[in-house]
Amino acid sequence: MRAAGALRLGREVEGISALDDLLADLCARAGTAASIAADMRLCLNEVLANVISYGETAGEALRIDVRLDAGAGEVRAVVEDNCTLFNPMARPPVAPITGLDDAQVGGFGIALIRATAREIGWEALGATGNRLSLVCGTG
Amino acid sequence: MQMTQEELPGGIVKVVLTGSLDIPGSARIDLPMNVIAGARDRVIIDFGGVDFLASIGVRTIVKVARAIGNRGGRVVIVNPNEAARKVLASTGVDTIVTIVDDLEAAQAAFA
Repeated sequence: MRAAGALRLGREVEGISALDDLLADLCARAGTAASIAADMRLCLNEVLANVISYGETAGEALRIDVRLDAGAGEVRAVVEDNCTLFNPMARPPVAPITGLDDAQVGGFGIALIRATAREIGWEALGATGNRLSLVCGTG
Repeated sequence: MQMTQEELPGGIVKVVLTGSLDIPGSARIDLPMNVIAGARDRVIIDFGGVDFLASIGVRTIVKVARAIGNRGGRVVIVNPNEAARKVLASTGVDTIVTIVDDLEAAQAAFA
């Protein structure tokens, strides 16, 4: 069985909690493995934290549309925004910390997405919009 | 996210975290964790009640571990769940904090 849903978010961080709730509900209905649901929660949290914190919208209100499709063995997500173009996968990967001397405090969000998602896709939506596709799980 | 503190023998402070270390959760504990990082050298962070760890939470832990580690102190994380363990390992946080399964092992890490 599959379960699908969608949510529109703005700049408010409370939207992330609402998306967590939607994901949990869909995964419960689809019988998604808990570890896969946790992986997608992590990816979405990182994506939304980046968009909410750094997304620039050229005067418009920030609009983030998230579509989720959960199955027993995987969860698919599509995140679309109206921000200036930003392909997170084009960023050079941040190296993991190896000791106190190189213990940077930030930059791990994209690294965690890369380490967690099975598939990651990005495309531009015109000149001011991004579509990020994520798949977690084994299919 | 909730945070409580308990004094243990040997000048150790145990910090118990409960909830999600996401954006709102990390915002709630950042200041009190910074206070601990500035004042204490032996810190156990009980992760048993942490159900979710995102990069914003990693940032909080790294700041604390770096401040304490640079003074010669130590941070020990106890009982993180499997998902949190994965995040701590893939970011390399496990190279600057000690991760153990229970409180006894955490206290032994300061011996």
